[in-house]
Amino acid sequence: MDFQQEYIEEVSQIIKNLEMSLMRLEENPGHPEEIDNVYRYLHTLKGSAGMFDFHQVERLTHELEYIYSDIREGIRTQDDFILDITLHAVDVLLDLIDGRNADSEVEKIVETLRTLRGEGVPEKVSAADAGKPSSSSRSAFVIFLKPESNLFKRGINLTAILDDIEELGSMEVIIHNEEIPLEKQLQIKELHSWFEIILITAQGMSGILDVFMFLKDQEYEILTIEAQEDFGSEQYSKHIQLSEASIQKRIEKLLEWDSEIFNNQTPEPTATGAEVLLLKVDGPLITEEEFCEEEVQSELIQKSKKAKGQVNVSTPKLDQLIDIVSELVTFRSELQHLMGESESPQVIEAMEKLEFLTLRLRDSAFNIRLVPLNILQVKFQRLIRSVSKELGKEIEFITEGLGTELDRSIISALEAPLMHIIRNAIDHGIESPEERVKRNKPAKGLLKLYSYNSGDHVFIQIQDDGNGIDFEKIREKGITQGFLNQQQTYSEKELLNVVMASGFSTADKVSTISGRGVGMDIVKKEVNALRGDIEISTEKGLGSIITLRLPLTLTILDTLVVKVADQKYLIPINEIEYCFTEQHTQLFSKKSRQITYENQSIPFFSLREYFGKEGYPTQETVIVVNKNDARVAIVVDSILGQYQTVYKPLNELLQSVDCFSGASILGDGSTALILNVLKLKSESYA
Amino acid sequence: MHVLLFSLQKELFGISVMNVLRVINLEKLIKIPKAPVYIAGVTNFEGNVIPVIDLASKIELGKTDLSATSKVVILEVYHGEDSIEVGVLIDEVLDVVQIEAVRLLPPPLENMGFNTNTLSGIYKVEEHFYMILSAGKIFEKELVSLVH
Repeated sequence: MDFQQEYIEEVSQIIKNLEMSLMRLEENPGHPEEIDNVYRYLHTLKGSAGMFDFHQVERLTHELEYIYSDIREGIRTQDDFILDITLHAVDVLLDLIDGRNADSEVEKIVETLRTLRGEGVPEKVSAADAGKPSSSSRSAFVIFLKPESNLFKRGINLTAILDDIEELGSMEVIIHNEEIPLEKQLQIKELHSWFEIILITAQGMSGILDVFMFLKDQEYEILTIEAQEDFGSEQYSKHIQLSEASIQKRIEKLLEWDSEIFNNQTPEPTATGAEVLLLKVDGPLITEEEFCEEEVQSELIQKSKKAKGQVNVSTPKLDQLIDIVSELVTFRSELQHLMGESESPQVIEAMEKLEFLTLRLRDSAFNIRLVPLNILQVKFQRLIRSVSKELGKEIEFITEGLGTELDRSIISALEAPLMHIIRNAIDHGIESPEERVKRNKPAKGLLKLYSYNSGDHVFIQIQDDGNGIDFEKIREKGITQGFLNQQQTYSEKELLNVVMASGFSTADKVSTISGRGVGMDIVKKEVNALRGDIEISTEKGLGSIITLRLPLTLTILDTLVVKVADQKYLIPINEIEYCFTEQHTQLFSKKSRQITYENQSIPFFSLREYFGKEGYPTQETVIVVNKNDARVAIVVDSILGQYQTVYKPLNELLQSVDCFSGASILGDGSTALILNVLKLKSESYA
Repeated sequence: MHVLLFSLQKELFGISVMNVLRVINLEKLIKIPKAPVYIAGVTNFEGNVIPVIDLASKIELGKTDLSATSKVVILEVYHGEDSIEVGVLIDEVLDVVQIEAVRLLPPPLENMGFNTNTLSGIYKVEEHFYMILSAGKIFEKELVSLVH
């Protein structure tokens, strides 16, 4: 991963944290700890953005920093308006980091923020400009910064230190011993260079010392430059012997910043805290105390991160690991198969140990792919915030059990459907505050999102205490949109099925919130594609609950291995309701392909017949499959056993063959196809 | 470019090694009911389930009879930024040679007994003509439907 990429990932994480803190501020406005967090994230973003030429990011965070600095100081209170702007800025920041052009948005926000601050100061008061009006208390320093090469390992950010020094006044950094380019050193996180920093500041010695508080004493030395001769002093030469020309260059630099620097009275090396604070008003944005606090906090964060030991791994790498592990599991079975029945107890024991280890390895590898649902929480909160504002509704959002883990691919595929359900609940479910008060409900609508594990499945429920689904309206719309028949009466269940029918919408007019033609049908499709189910239950006037039932992971599948002609096929076990044997003549005595099961006549498909294979066995095996409330029976030669398999998608070239949903590799290394029973059905109807 | 030369139905063919991942022995081929005729089945290649194409049937040259010596060339076919892995059945691997693109003759259009639109050219070595297949062209139709 290149340096810039690494930076982008890091920054995205910080922006995410920032967003999360903002959402917490929404719940607890003005919470001091969160304000601090927001401020700190902004500061970190600003610092690193400059380094990578993300100037717009730098500008935006810089302006925001002012606002939050004021809030911290108690000069300003954090209100909804500020929160709105900041959230908007978060989106813009993400755009900028992704390399999208958002200049006009940045301008808008910066302008709003400036108006908010009540000033039209020209942007970016450069350090040098700020220093121009020479103040008698400014003095010159030279800092020798010689960090040990393990600086980065200690979690200290060199660029942040340099940035902080820059904020003190005017400065120039001279890099020594740069055999390896500095950028490269930063990249390999091993420092060899040292730095000579010429600085003019009004902060005095104590201001500088604060910057270095996390460095060891021997890693830096600060010299006061009172006269031009000081560049040749013994203390100076100890670090570097300067030629006449080099001294002249340095003096010129100092004079350029402040022509009277050497005419000053002796500066006060030990400025008292109060004075420093006073001087700061027109200078840098942060007070010393904040500086320290900040550093301490970031240090703490670094530590807590280490304790948890989080590592970011790219998805392809993970997938590769999973592939290899799956391969290993299969190969182990193959090896056992090849060795046959061994007599030697040692071999048997070794094989058992290998089995145990490979299965454990597989379980932990699959575990890595699991991520908690709460990574979506901030997105939901933002959505609820914006949608409820737009519709003038008040929502209380409660979550429970969002620590429940799911396969990361499932989580990312779930995002859109869940967002849609939430949007729907606010738009169609929850009533306006006035309406709710009339109905003796609290003005704030309740939206609850909870999740839990049960067996091999994860359940996610979205509950609202709104109006519930209006069956009369669905009936009406269903009839006008041609899904239902005027004469017929429908059960609530049938009406709910209509809601999920393709193209159905109850919205009278198309709003931007929901009802854009894509509706619950798409949600259902997406959930089904994840091998999950969706269920709606609703009570008129009281609200609705939408339940999603999802497999824990997409890759492991419990299957029944069946035999048809000379090949094996797999049927997902969770779809199977019942198996029994039947005489071939009995089954095929009539032309219709129907069997009676639980007093119900259900269609059956003989796979031999379906695949066009001759040679039916006299005794057939019937498997009753129930998927999405549709029952269908399939007839196979025999059942070979149960097998836990790793699901493999079929290659793109095979997607036209939709009676198979995928394939798996069996213990002996051979491949078996996974039957998509519902497709058997629809195909033969056509 | 380097080209893998092989024989199929007594004809001589070649394909750029840029597309070739591996040549494997045909084993454990699983047939897929209801699949297009040119798909001979699927096989396990390094833990992935990939389709095996009856190349002869795909380029309208006939039908390959599977035998113990049948080989499968695993190809990587590019479409856009993605690629798909697919195996093709051949009779025998002959050689890998370097050929100059300029010496590639335009493919004849008629009377070849198969679909010559799948060729990128013809290469002549002494008395033999090798028909150089283009992986992209063989699966042109299928790739188009992938893009939707």
